[in-house]
Amino acid sequence: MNKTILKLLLKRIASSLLLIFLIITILFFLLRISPGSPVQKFISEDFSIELSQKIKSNFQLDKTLFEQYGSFIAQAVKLDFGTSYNYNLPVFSVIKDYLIFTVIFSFISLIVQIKAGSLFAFISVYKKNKYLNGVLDSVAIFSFALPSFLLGLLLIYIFSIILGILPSNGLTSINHDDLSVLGKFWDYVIHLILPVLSLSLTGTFIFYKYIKESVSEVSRKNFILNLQAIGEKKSKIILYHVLPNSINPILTIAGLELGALLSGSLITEVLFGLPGMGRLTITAILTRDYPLVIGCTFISGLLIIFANLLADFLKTVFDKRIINTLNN
Amino acid sequence: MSSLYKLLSFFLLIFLFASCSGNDASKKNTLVIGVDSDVESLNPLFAYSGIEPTIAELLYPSLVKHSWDDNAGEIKSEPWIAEYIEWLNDSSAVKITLKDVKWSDGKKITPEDVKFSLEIYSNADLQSRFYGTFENFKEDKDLRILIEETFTLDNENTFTLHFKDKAKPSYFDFDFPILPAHAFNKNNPKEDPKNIYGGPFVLDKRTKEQSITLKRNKNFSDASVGNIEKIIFKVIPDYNTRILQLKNSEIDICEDVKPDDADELKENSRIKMAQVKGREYDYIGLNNNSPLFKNVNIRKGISYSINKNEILGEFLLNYGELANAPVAPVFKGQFNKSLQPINYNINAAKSIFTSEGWKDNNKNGILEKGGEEFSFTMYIPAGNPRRDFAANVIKNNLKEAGIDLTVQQVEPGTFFDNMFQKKYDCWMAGWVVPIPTQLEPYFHSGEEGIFNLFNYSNKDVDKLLEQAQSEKNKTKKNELYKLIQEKIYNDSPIVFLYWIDNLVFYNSSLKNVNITPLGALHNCWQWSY
Repeated sequence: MNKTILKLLLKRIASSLLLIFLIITILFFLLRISPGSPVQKFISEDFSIELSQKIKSNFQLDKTLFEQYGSFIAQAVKLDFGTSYNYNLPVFSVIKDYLIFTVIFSFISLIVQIKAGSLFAFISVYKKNKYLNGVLDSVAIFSFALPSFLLGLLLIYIFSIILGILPSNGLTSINHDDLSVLGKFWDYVIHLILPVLSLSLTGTFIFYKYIKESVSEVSRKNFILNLQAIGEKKSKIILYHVLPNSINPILTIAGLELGALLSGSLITEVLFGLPGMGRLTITAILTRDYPLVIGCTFISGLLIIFANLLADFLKTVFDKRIINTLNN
Repeated sequence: MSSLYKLLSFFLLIFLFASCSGNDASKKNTLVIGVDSDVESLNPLFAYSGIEPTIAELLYPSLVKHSWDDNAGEIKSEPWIAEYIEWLNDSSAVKITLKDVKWSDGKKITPEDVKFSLEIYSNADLQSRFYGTFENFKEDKDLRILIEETFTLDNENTFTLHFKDKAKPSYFDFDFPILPAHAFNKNNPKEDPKNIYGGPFVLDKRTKEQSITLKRNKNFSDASVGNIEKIIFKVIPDYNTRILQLKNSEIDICEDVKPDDADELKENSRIKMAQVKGREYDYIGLNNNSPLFKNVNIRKGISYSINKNEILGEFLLNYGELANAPVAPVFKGQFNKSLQPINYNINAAKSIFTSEGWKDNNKNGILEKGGEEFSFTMYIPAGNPRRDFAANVIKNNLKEAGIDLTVQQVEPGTFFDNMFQKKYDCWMAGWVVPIPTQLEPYFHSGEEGIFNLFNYSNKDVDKLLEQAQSEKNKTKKNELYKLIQEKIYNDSPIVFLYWIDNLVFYNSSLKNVNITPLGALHNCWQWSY
C-alpha cells in the first residue's frame, strides 16, 4: 500500500478512536446525570424494596460518579464494558447476537439499494424515455415522502394480509427446524423480502438521484462525446469511462448509508420483529442499561468509521487522481 | 431494459415460490402466543418481568396452584405438587408432603429441592425476584432465610417449614417455583441452570428476539392437563403486526388489545374475546402536603370537575368502569359496593371552590385566591395514548371549573423516577392491584407505604391497614378492607379515574380457556384444541 495512504489511514483511525473515547466518556456522565434509574423496573409491588437497593449496590450505582468512571475506564481499556443490567451478561456477549444480523441485513440492503438505484439511473439516463423517467422521478419523491413505518405496514398489508404470500414478522417460520437446508435458506429469504424492501426503497431512490446526476454530468463531458464519436461501444463507454468518473459521490453516499444501516434500523426492526442493533440500543436507552448503551455506541461508532474508511479506500481504487493529489 | 425485466422476473419468481411455501404450516396442537418482547433471561431466579414469570411457572412446579373463583371474586389455592399441607395449630409451622413427582431428567422432586429453592431465592448475593419477600420466615440481617431453623426434614417426602414468631403465614409464603437443586452450579448459582424442569412444559428451543418454544413435559402428570403439545411465544414487537397476525391465524392469542380494535376482531368468527375485568386503574396523584392539595375539599372539587365517563366512553369504549377506591370490583368479597363513584358535577365542583375562597375576581375565567390563580401542572408519561386523551379531557374539564391546568409529558423513565422521588405535586399514572390485595404499600403513612407517593396520612387508615394485613379470618379481613375503602373515599387522597379491562382475543378452536384476573396465560397448560 502506498506509504502516504497508510499514514493517512493510521491518522484517520487514531483520530476516530480518540473521538469514540470522547463520545463514550461524555455519554458515561450524561447517562448518569440524566433523570431515570436502572433500578426503576425493580420498584414494583411484585418485588421487595430491598431488592432494588441490593441491585443498585450490585450495579455500583451507590458509588460516586468519579469512582464509577474510574472502574469503567479500568475495564474499558481491556475492552470490557461491564455487565448488562438487563441481561446479566457481559455487554459484548449480548451485542454479538444482534450485530451479526445487523451486519448481514445492512449489506443486503445496501447491495439492493446500489443495484436497483444504479439500474434505474442508467435506464433513466440512457433510455431517455420521458414517461419512464417521469414514473421513476415520481416514485422517488413518493419514497422520500413516505415514512418507513407506513411503507412497512403497506407492504405487510399487501403481501401478508391480502395476498398472503410473505410472512409479516420474524426471521424464521415456526417450523424452521423441520425444514431442509435449502428450505431453511428459503425461509430466511422470504422472511427478509419485506424488511429489505421497506428499508431499501428510500435509499434506492437516493442512489438513483445521485447516480443519475453524476452519470448525466459525466456523459456530457467532451471525452465521452469523443468516444461516442469514434464509435466506441456503449457498454464499454459506460463501464470503463462513465462509471469510474462518476463513482466518487456514489461512494460517499454509500459510506454514509452503510454507517447508518450498521447502527441499526429501529423502525424496520420493530415493525418486522427483527433482532437488530437498533432495537437493542433503544431498549437499553429506555431501561437505562448504561453499560449496554455505551457498548452499543462504541460498536456503532466503530462500524461508522469502518464504513467511511471503506468508502474512502474504494474511492482511491477507482479514482487514481486522489492518490496523485495525496502524493503531491 | 432487459435488466429491468430480469429484476421484475426475479421478484415474480420469489413471490411465486413464497406463495407455494406457505407460512408456519405445522401448528397442530401448538399454541402460538404473540408477545411484545423477548425474555431477558430464562433463568427462573431472574424472571423479573414481562412473560418471564409466566414461562417460569410453566417450566417449574409450585407446592400450590391457584385458580380464580368468579362467584366469590377471590383467589382459590390448593396443593399442586404437595400431596398434603397441614398447618400446625398456631400457624407457626406447616407440614408438607410431596407427591411422587419427577423432574424431566427422571429424578424425583424432593424436599431438598424445596430447601434449595428457599436458600437460593433468599440469597442476598443473587438478587432473585423473590429476594426480600420472605418476611414471615426467620432471616438474617441480609434477609437470607435461616434455613436450619426454618426447614426440617420429617421423612423422604415430608418436611416442615417453621415461621418466625408472631408471623401470619399463608399459602402465598411458599408459592414459588421449586427449582431442581442438581441443575444449578453450586459454585456459581448465577449461571443458567441445566435444562431440567418439573412443570407441565420443558424448554425446547429459544431463538433470540424471535421465539421461545416449550414442549410438553412427558414426566409431568396432572388430571387437568390439556392436549397442547407445544407452546410458542412469538416475539412481535409491533402492536399492529400482532393484530394482523391474530386476524391471519398466525398467532392464537393476543392480550391487551386496544378497544379500537375490539369491534372488528369480535366479528371474526375464528377469534373469541375474553373481557377480563381490570385490576389496573388510572389515577391523578396529588401531593397531600402541598399547599394547594392538602385540603380534602379541593381534592374532591377536582374529582367532581373531571368527566371520567367521557374518557371511559370515548377512549376505552366502555371496556372498563369508574373507580371510586383502590379495591377493584373484581374482588367481590372485598369491594365496597356502597361507595358511588364521584361523578362529573361541575356545579358541585364550583360550589366547593367558592366555599373554599376561590373566586374569579378579574373575570379571566381562572379562579383566584389571595392574589394567586388556581393553576398547576400535571405530569404524564409520554407515549401513552390513553393518558394523552385523558389529560386533554381533564384539562378542558378543569378549565370549565376555572382551573388552569398545564399538561407536561415526560419521557417514561424520567417520569417514574421523578414520581418515586416525590418530585411532582400532580401527576397521572396507574397501579395494578396485586393478588392477594395489598393496600398497605399504597396508603400507609409509615415506612410500609413505599408507594404512598402522594403523602396521604390518616392514622385510622394506618391502623386498619395493619389489622387487615395480619387478619387471617377472611370475613373479618374483607370487612376491614371495606372500611378502609370508605375512609380513603372520604379523604380522596388521589382522584380515582377508571378500571381498565384487559381485552384478550384467542383462537376460537381452543377449549377449556378460562381467562381470569390472575392473567391471560395463567393455567394455559390446561387448554386444549
